[in-house]
This record gives sequence, structure tokens and C-alpha cells, in this order.
Amino acid sequence: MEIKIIIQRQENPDTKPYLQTFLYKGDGALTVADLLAEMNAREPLMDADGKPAPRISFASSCHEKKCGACAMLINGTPKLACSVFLNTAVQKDNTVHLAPLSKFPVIRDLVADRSATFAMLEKMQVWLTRKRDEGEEQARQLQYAAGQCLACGCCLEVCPNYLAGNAFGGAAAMIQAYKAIEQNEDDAHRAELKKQYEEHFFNGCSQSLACAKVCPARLPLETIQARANAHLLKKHSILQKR
Amino acid sequence: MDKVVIIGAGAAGLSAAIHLAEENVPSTVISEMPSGRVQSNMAEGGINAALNTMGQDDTPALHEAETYKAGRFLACREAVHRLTHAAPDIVRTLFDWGMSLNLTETGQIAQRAFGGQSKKRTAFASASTGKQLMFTLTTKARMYEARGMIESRIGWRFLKLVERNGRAQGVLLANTNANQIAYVPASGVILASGGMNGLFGNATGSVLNKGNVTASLFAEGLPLGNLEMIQYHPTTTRLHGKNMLITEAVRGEGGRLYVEQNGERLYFMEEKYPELGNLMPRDVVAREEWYWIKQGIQPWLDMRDIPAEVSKNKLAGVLDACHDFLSLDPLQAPIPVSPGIHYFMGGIYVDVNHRTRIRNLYAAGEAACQYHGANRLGANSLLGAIAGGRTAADAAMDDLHGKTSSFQPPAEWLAPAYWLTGRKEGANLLRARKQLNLYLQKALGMERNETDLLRCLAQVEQMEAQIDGGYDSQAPIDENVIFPHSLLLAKAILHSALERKESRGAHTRSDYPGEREEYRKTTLSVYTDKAIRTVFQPIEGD
Ligand code: SF4
Ligand code: SF4
Ligand code: FES
Repeated sequence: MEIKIIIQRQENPDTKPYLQTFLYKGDGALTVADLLAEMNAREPLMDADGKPAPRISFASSCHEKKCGACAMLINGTPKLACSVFLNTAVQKDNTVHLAPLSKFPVIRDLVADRSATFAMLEKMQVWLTRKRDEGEEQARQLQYAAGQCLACGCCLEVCPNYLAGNAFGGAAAMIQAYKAIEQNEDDAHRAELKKQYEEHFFNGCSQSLACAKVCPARLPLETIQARANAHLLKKHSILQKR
Repeated sequence: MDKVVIIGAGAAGLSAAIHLAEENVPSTVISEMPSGRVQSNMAEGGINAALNTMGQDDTPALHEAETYKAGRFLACREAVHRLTHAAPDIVRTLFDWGMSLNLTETGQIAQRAFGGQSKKRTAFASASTGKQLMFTLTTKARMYEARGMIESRIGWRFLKLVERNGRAQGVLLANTNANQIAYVPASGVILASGGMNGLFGNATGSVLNKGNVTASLFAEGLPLGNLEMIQYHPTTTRLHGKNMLITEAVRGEGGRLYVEQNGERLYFMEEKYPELGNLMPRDVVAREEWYWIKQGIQPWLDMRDIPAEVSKNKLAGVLDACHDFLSLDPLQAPIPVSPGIHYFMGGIYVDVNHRTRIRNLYAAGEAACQYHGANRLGANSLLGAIAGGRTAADAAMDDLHGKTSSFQPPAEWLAPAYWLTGRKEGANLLRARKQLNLYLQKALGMERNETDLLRCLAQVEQMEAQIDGGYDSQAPIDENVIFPHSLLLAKAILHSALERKESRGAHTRSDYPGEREEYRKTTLSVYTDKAIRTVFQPIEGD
């Protein structure tokens, strides 16, 4: 099959994005990440009009859906380029559209700057002072699931309330805060974690759960959120009783 | 004030940074991508420690003996001793830091069987041990980052070590996305930059690990050890771009290897090695598979004898990966497997304290040549990375003298054009690297022989002549500077494989079968006076 690969490109953060079309011929039995690597090795790389084009920047590391680096918009939906096969991505009009995630500043071509997600975790003080004893109040399966988060940002891309740099951290922050709140012993740091969670997630989330639908790691975001909220509300009820 | 610069944000790098921070020594961690995206996250099966939670009378001494034996007696025994005896504390510490390890019914850290080990010694987090471990280390490091003890510089790659008077002074870095160079002064530099995947192109690990740091330092005269010892993991499966690992834990939980013979399944490992069967050390399993593959017969990894519940609980990642990448359900059908490059036992030569031959320069993790000898035991790599990172940090602290280097590089070094002076445009380094990959894959496969190795040496020399100082205007500055060094490193590996005229561990020479005691030495490669020298030196402590 012949497929038109339409890529949103941008030279650096300060220049305007533009679209460029490339052609692919073959059976499409390769992932979008492999396709990009293959295109970059073309000599010379030419667009569909036969004009030479600069190599396409994209981020990738594991090529096995284990690192979250390669998240991008594939036909408008955030996905991991290393685990989407071209023959499943191709649309009826024989095109595949690639663009960087739109909620983050673009560094170059398909590379978006997701550093705000990590800065948010630091701001929310997501770490443990001391782990509480194993046993009561622990949902080990969910904690494990939280630890599987790829920090890919797909959930943030579709979230109606998220924009990099704003106060709302989205599901990617929620999931990490959850694990810390549940694992930390009941000290001042845990109280602070809850406060941060309230401010940077609870107050801003409108429960649409668009995040859960796109998470490429298929993490149970709804259940995790419910549990994190329960931890938070428990604090309130204790306070109210007093 | 002192500051240690760490190249690499994986398990070894973060372990070093955290250990330094615990002792109030600040560090800067340099990485192209954040910790959550680096190769350590891809480790699956587990981390070894003789915690003895499974009632099998396991001891660190036995862990030590089995590690040393699987490495075919080529590792430094004292280093292996320290590694294995530190292991229980390392795993318990990770657990205390919140790592989601699988537990037994009584709430102890669960341990599974792994290759080459007579006891259940591998602690694990389903089939995502690396991911969960990195989550834990990243969380810990975040606390120290917030306190200003750890600074992470993401989006930068190593360009060059700056050395004066035999001491590491700092590092030059190239920006990943902009044509920009920076200099970071240091009191000490820890290299935790991973293995040499980029020389082969199809290794199971991350594409970020090109081996460029190793190549650059080799070209500057830093000795490397045991370069020919490249681990082929017996159960990898081909993807379009590279090979994907199917964790050894599958066999640890009861997965079986077989080939079809006359319409029947022949469980070749179980037949030949009744005691450990499918769980022999990796080099042995890979060689047995290779015997069949050479005849055009496909080996299969069968999970169907594992209870489905066990597979779903302890091997979920394997089921997902097979579904996503192979459109295959391992509960219904076997997985086609073959040996694939997975780990470099060799690398930057370090002593038992992880010091290199340059003062204030240390190496840890897969970048270093330590612990694993001629063949690494499964689930000893995360352990080696963490123990090595700690040890390197300890050595760095011992050597600190209260201040960061005051050396200032000449301003021109910070101009990208400086690094291309005297070179002409015209090379295509993407294509050149692919070519190098194909040559090396062929000559440094499961079985090596003199003819192929010599041919490959000639091919690499021809590439050197072709590139001849040419640069690629579309390639990043560090790749332009270091690719020629990668050719040099490739030649050093080939020389090491040529000179080791025996078969030991991962190094199989079809023209020299069998181990020979006179080769129970470290293969040391040094680049001096524009020539690669390969010598065999006594193993440290022997
Ligand atoms: S539930 Fe909706 S608002 Fe809340 S994080 Fe998910 S997508 Fe955003
Ligand atoms: S929760 Fe899912 S979608 Fe969001 S960052 Fe983590 S892995 Fe990605
Ligand atoms: S490259 Fe790691 S998830 Fe795609």
C-alpha cells in the first residue's frame, strides 16, 4: 500500500509549525516509531513532492511501550508511536497524521517538552518520608499500577482541564501522589501531600475520565482516583469530628 | 564546594546520586531523557539477593559462588563477594523506600527461580521490576532534588571528558535538541551511561545507549575490559527495528523451551540438563538454541504449562507485550524465540572500588566492566547497577578534596563549529552506523571465528577510510565527534574477540572450543600511540 504520512513540523520553539507530507510504500507492518527511524535513514529524505527535507525529530527510547518517550498525536489521538502499527493507523483516505502533543511547548518537530509534569511532582512534594507498616489500608495492586505510569502525558493531552504550567496536575500527577499518600506514614508530610493533592488535582478534576480511556498503559485511573479521594476526604471527616 | 557529575540517570546513576545526597554531597545528573525513560526501566525479571524468604537455606555466600561460576571465573572475586553480601540490604532498602515488590502470603518479599541459581533468590515486581525500581529511585531522588542536593540536567548528552594533570575536571555536553554546548565543572565524574547497544543496533535495550561515552573515553586512552563478553539472551523475539526481551522469569515460573522434531516436541534443555533444565545460565541456553537455529529449526518458549493465574499475576507484562507486538496470546500459543544481544559484561575497566585509571573518574552499571565476568546471571544487573553506583559514590567521596575543579575550558570549545574544524561535510552517519551494525552483528554473533573477525576488522577499517574526517551536517554534534571513536571501539571489540582464543561464557569461538586456563584473565584494551593494544592481565585480586 502507499500511505501519505502528514507530519506537523517545527524547527524550534520560536518558529511556526508547518505540515509536510511524505510517502511510504510497503505492507505497513511496522510501528510509527520504526517508520520515522526508517524515513530518517532515507538518503536523501524527500517529501511527497520530491523536495529534500530535514530529518524528523522524535523522542524514543525503549521501542517496547515501557518508557513513554514516544507519545505523540496519531490522527489526532495521543498514542505511543512505538506500539501503533502503521497498517492499523492508516485512515480511509490512505493518510496518517502525526503531530506533537498539543498541551506542551514544542521543542522540535514531534518532540514536546513535558518537563512541567516532573516539576509538578516536585512542587507537590511527591516522595516518602517514612513508609508506613505494610498491612492495613494498603491496596498493593493499585500501588503497583501507579508505579507503572509511563509519564507519557497522553492523559494530560485529552484532559479538558490540563495545560502545562498551570496549577492542575492531571492524572499523571494524581497517580503518583496517590501512591505516596497511601504509602507514607501518618505524619506532617502526609498531611502536606494531601493538601497538595487537593490543590493540584482534587479541586481541578471534573471527573470526565477522558484520561482513563487513552492511557496506553491501561492503568485503572478511575479506581486509583477514587482511592486517593477517599484518603483525602477521610482527613476532612476526622477534622470535622474534632 | 564539592560537586560530583554523574553521566546517566538510570539505576546506577541515581543510586550514586542518592548515596551522595545521603552524605550531603551535591551532584548533577546528566541525561538525555528523564529517569523514567532510560533503559533500567526495561529490566523485567527481578533483582537477586539471598534474603532467604522461601525457606531454602539460601546465603550470600552461595549467591557469590553461583555468580562467580556463571561468569566462568572471570570476575573479580572480591567485587562479587561485596556485591552479593550487600544485596539483601539493597533489596530491603528499596522495599522500605516504597518499591512495589511481590510478597508471599505471609507478607515477606517473594522470590522466584532464575537461571543458573539453585535457590529461589530473585525478588521481583511482576514482570516490571526495572520500572518499579526506577519509580522508587526517582521518587527518592525527587526529595533530594527539592532540597537542592541533586540537580538533574535533562536534554544533554556527553560530548567529552575534560581532563588535566591526569584528573577529571569536568564534562562538555551537547544539547539534545539545539546546536549548543555546555561545560560542567566537577570534583569527580561517575560514568553510568549504560552499554554499547548502538554498535549493534538490535539489542534488547534502549536506543539511547549508543556506547558513545565509552567510545569517547577509549579514544582518549582509558582502558576497557572484557569487550568480547556480550550476552546473548536466549529468549528474545524479533521486532521490526530491534529485538524484544521475553524475561527469564517465564522460565523461572515454569515456561519450557522446545523444538519440533518429527512432529513431536523435544524439550531440549530438560533432556540435556535434567537438574536445572530450562534454567541453566544464559550462555548455555543460548548455545543450545543456536544448535537448532543453525539447522533452520525454530525454538519455542511455551507458557501453556504455567497455571494461567500465575501468568496473569506474575508475568502480566509478557502477556501484554506479546499481544501488542506479536499479536500472540502466550496462554494459547508458544512464542518464537532466539538469542539476542542483551547485555555487555565488558566496558570501562574499574577496580573493586569502581575507580577507573583516571583520577576522580569512576564508572558503574553496564558501562563498567565489573561483577559479571564472562556471563551475567539473570537479575544480577539491577543489583550490580545499584551496588556499583553506591560503591562509585563512596570512592568519589573518599577522593573529594573540598572543591570543584576551577579549570575553565577555552571559550572556543563551547562553539559547535570548533568541533568540526578541518572536517568536510558529506558523511551520512545514520547510514554509516547501520552499516557498522550489520558488520558487527555478523562477526560478533553467537559463534565467532578468526576468518569472520578478520573480515569485519577490514570492513571497519574501510569505513574509517571512507569517512575520513567527513561530517554529517544533519547529525548532532556529539555523534559527529564520537562516531569515529565508535569505529575505534568496534575494532577493539573485534581484537578482543580475536585474541581470546578459547570459548568461555558468552564468547564462543568455533575454531577454539573449550575453556583454557591460561585465558582466565581480563582482556584489557588500550588505545595508545594511535594503536589498539589488547593484553591479558591477571584478574584483580587473583
Ligand atoms: S477525570 Fe477528566 S478532568 Fe480529571 S484528570 Fe481525567 S481527564 Fe482530567
Ligand atoms: S496515567 Fe497513563 S496516560 Fe497518564 S502519564 Fe501515566 S501512563 Fe501516560
Ligand atoms: S519508545 Fe518507549 S514507550 Fe515508545
